[in-house]
Amino acid sequence: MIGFDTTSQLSSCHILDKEALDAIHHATLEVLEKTGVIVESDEALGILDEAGCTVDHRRHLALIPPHLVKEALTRKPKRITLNARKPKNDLKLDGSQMFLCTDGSGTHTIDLETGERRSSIKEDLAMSAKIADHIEAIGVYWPMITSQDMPAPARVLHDLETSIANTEKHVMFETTTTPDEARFQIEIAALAVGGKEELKRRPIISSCHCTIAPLKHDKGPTEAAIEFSRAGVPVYFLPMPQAGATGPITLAGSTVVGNAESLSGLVIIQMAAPGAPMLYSSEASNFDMKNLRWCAGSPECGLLTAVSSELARYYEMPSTSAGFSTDAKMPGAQACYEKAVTGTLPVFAGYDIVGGLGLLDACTLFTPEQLIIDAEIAGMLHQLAQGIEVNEETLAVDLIHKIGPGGNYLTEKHTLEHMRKEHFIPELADRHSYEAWKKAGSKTTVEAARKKAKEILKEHQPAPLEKDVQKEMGEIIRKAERQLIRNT
Amino acid sequence: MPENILNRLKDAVLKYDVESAVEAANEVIKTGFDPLEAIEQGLGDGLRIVGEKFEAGEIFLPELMIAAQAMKQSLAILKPALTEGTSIKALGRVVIGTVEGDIHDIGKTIVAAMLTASGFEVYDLGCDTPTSKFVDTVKDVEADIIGMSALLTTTMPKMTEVVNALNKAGLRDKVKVVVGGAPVSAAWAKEIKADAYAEDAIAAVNVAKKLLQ
Repeated sequence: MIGFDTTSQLSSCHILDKEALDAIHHATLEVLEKTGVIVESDEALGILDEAGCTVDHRRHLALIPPHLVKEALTRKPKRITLNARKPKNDLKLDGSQMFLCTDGSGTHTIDLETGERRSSIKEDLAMSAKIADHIEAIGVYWPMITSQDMPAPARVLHDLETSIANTEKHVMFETTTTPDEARFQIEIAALAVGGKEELKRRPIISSCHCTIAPLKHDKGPTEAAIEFSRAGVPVYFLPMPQAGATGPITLAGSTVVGNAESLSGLVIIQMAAPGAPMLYSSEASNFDMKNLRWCAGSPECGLLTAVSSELARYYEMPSTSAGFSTDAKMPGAQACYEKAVTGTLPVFAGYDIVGGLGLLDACTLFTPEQLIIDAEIAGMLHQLAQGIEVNEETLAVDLIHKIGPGGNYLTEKHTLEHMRKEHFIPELADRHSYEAWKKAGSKTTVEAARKKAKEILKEHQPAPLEKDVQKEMGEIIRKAERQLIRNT
Repeated sequence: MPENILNRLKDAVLKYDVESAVEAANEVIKTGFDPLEAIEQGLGDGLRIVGEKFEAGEIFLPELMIAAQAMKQSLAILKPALTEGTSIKALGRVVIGTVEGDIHDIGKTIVAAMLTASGFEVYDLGCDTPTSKFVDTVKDVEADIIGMSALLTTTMPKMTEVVNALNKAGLRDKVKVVVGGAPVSAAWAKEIKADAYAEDAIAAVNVAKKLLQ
């Protein structure tokens, strides 16, 4: 598994200084204490009540005092490991490395064979997992699209089963909306690692829970998060305030709203399951006042995302971020420049996990081509973020002396030892001469990526789950289908 | 033992280990093992695999060049031991150099390494090569191909000089002339009556193979 080194100077750029971060923290504490958050779940509200919040059960409102936030921040672990079906793919989130994650929960795809845009099915999901499993630069797999050919209430289970079966990497997901679903998901993941105790020790899944801006925690997802936390599955809350619409128009103001959602989620979880592994995240962006839409590819989105990583470091929490987002409707120029811009700040900001690879059209459309292109963009950005290492070995004065004027460095051991790390090696970008490029069919980047995707699908086969595990997973899904469909 | 020494030669090439290749070559001489077999099956096998890996994008130029270097240095030891009359089964003999007045070396060096790695027997004359040196070497080694490189428009006319000298020495119909270098083009090759132009090292190998078919 490639983890990208983030210890170089360049890779931690600063949008805010300590004073500004303190100001955001104190503003957030004030909002939590005086304005409070709506918590739709009675269970979560009860937990907050018992912990010492001022709770209005009729309005589902909780006012959270600063000392509880402080207590929750002390309880959560500073470092966590996201495990994987194959232990070689385990990811240690200790701030020294950045891992890439696919974007997820899309609803559409452009068919690799026919070029037709259509709703995604389970087979597309399996395909996306296989490609992501093959791309070494990807550390975390997020079910990229949903299995819309499966019955709605049990879709998340089909998605999880398909993901675990088709990649040996850590699986992170977002779509759990009830504690019942969470329980079934825990059962499925436990099967893959050999039991619930083992899952607690080696969580191969993690779960993201969206808050509702401004300042609301939904019922089902919050209860699901509590369920996961008790099972040892890492969780995080994902605030998505839209500056101007569901958050103040100012980026600082929207940061406060998002942070208040994150920290209130942290309090709920740490009071329910002290010491539960958590990440910090945000997908705040701006609201386009002309087209009335959430912006995925704007510079404001990039800035807000970068600030979120600084807050994560401020709170000493592992961080994950979106990035590489675009509003483009197909792979190509707009997708690539927007992804390069929105990917730059998260990569430079020093996140533990940066997501967003492979989806288009404001995170709803999966294409295999863009997934492959995005991995390359991410690799290039990381190379930039690494900067230049200067020490005796890299200055290579002895070698320069040995080669002397007029020689060459091609056949030196020093070259051999450093060439794979010192330079970024593109998989996709065409660096041939014009004649060679023309001879090879004058392929565009998207066409080259399509060819590569087809090659991967033909050649790559992740290690399958054991037969009886597959069978038991199928049984859990059938049981869940009966129960969840009855409940709806 | 014979199997063992062949494997050692092959492994040395595959591991980009010039020292081990030279050591094994010396042992071939010491133990009286057939040098031709050592060259063709030991070193040659290794180099063929290296060439395939490079073409597949699995390894990079430095690795290919070091493997070619291992071949070259071992050959220097093994060749004198070949029995009179035996010749190495190479794809062809290539004399290569940068023309007189031009000290640009790297492109030509890469082409030479690529040709060696592809199974040609290469005589690299270096840079700033006098016209007479090109002609004499072509004659001495009975070269199949002469490759000339120039990076300056001011040294390009030297290529014409070499072609004329080959004509004068009665060698022109015995050797194919290939030219390359940044300012050089297919049109220029045609103008000076060379046989081919190669735009880069990979093209050079293909051109050389095609010319000798």
